[in-house]
Amino acid sequence: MQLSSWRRMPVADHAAALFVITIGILAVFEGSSYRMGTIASIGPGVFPVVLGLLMLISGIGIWLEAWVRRADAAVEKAGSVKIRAMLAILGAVCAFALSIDRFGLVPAVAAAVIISSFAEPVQRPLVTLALIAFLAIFTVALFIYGLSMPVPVLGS
Amino acid sequence: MLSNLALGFETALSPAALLYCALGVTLGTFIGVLPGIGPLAAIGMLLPLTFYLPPTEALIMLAGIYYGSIYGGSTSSILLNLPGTAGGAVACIDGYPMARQGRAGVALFMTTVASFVGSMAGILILAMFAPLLAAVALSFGSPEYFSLMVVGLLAAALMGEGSHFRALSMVVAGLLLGIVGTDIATGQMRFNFGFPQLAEGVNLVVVTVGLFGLAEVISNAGQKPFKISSSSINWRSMLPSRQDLRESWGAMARGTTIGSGIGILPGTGAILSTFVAYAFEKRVASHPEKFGRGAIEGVVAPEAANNAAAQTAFIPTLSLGIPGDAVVAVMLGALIVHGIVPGPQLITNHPEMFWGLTVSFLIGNILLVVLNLPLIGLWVRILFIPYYILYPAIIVFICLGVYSIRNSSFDIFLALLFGLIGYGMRLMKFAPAPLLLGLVLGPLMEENLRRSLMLSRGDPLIFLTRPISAICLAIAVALVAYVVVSHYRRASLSKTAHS
Repeated sequence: MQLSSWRRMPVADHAAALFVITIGILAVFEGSSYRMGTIASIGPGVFPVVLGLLMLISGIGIWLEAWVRRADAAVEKAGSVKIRAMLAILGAVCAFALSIDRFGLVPAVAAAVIISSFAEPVQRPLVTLALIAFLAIFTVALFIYGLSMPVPVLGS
Repeated sequence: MLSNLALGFETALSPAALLYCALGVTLGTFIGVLPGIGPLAAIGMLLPLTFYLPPTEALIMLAGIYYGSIYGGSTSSILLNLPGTAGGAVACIDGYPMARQGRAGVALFMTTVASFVGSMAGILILAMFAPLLAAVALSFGSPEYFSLMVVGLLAAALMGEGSHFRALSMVVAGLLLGIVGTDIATGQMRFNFGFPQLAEGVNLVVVTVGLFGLAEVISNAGQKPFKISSSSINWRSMLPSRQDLRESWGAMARGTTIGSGIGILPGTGAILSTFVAYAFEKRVASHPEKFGRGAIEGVVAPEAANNAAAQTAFIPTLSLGIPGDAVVAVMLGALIVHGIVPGPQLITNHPEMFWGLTVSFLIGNILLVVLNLPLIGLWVRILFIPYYILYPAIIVFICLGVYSIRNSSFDIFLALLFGLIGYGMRLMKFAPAPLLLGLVLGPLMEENLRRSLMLSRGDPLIFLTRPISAICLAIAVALVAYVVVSHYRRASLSKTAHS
């Protein structure tokens, strides 16, 4: 195995294999701390350990597959990581989760819409405000009045 | 049979059922047309809302969204070269060239017709075959179920496109996720990492909307709005010519057959059937060079296959309790929450559900033809909605939907985590759908394994000594062998090509 062609494999393939193998190792580790039992009466640890081993095999398989296809893989373009979109949207969800218990439904909706708008390269404040208004009314009507969800419109 | 159909009509024609059917298929078409949100994310989001409905109506609506989205999924493929659903990708190949030749109207018309034909055939097979299969499966025991699940999960892993080991790891990851929580048999808390909120395990809705909804939104946010060139739409010529019809009906028949066959198999569903139908159509065509340049067979066959598979995917789901694909797996999860145990006894214990559902499919498909032919102009206008208006709404609905499960903001954070993982997985070229199959089947699989070994007093050969189980495992081995052999053949072919 030439080291240079190993390194020329796309990062995505290495990352994928490592991701899977790590989960496998964690599963085997955690699973073996549970009782294994006997074959006639398998314990809670059997399934996790077996699955963890399967994950390990899959991870190695991903590496092998990438190795076999390394000639074609060089031509594929890697997808770019959209950091801005990722942070904006995850931030929006985070804001919602933090606000809803403390401040109620409407502020949570507003926070989510405002923060998620940062995923766009261009800010459109009028659209954002209109969305907040529409979504606040719609969700309050549907979830609180229609489905009697026990969450305050405003407040905790 | 007739009395069953009467029961079905009685159930499906109730005002509530009709309402939810109409709602489901309309919503489904809308979601199918729009690129940027798929039926899986939508069903995941609406799942908590359906808990307020009786199970039959809930299922009618969710299923309506499912096959409705398949009708609409080809619209943006044909007009924008952008698939609205994963299965719509194939429609781009010949549909978009047709649009650029000014034949968008014909393409859209024929896909609706093909969808209807495929669905009708699928519904017929469902009505005839599922009760028979359920009758056979009543004699199934734990070993048979375990082996069947192995085949289903293996099929889901191996029959998709792309890296097989990646798909396999997704199935195993789903099984592992299913372990999180309290083990019912022993009371042992597993994989909860100290979080008491995970005592009941990871909720299916949380995983679905995080992995599919949030991850899709992240992938699509920040895009420029789509532009449809006005030359690609010509409404006056929506009706096909006689030659179009002549070329299409064979393709429709072939596509329907392929779709029905693939849909019945556990683990494989609508998406695979489009690719297989297209490839097959190209191979048997008298003028294969037309494909890729606007061959109507290339549009019509996958659509028929798609819809046939979507309907027949309910066969293993409702008669065996083994989902046909990820979307149906989520619906199965909904049934389990409603307290309905999926399996062969479902048809005998809840006949009004099965037959009501089947008849509602019939009604729904008729509704869809009405929706899609005259109203196609409306759907096309929807494509002009900029994504920056949609995705904040999607995020709010995802958050609220997750919160409504048990008023827990922890669940929202969990969905966030899965959104991050889902986005990362897409970058690493994983297809997350098989994970849902593993998640839904995991606990059932472990229970069946445990029971089988208890039954045999520790003898693992029980899976081979019982004939049906042995057949299933043999199929599993055959699947693996087939994949390995076709890999070798491809590798040796490319080697001779290179040398």
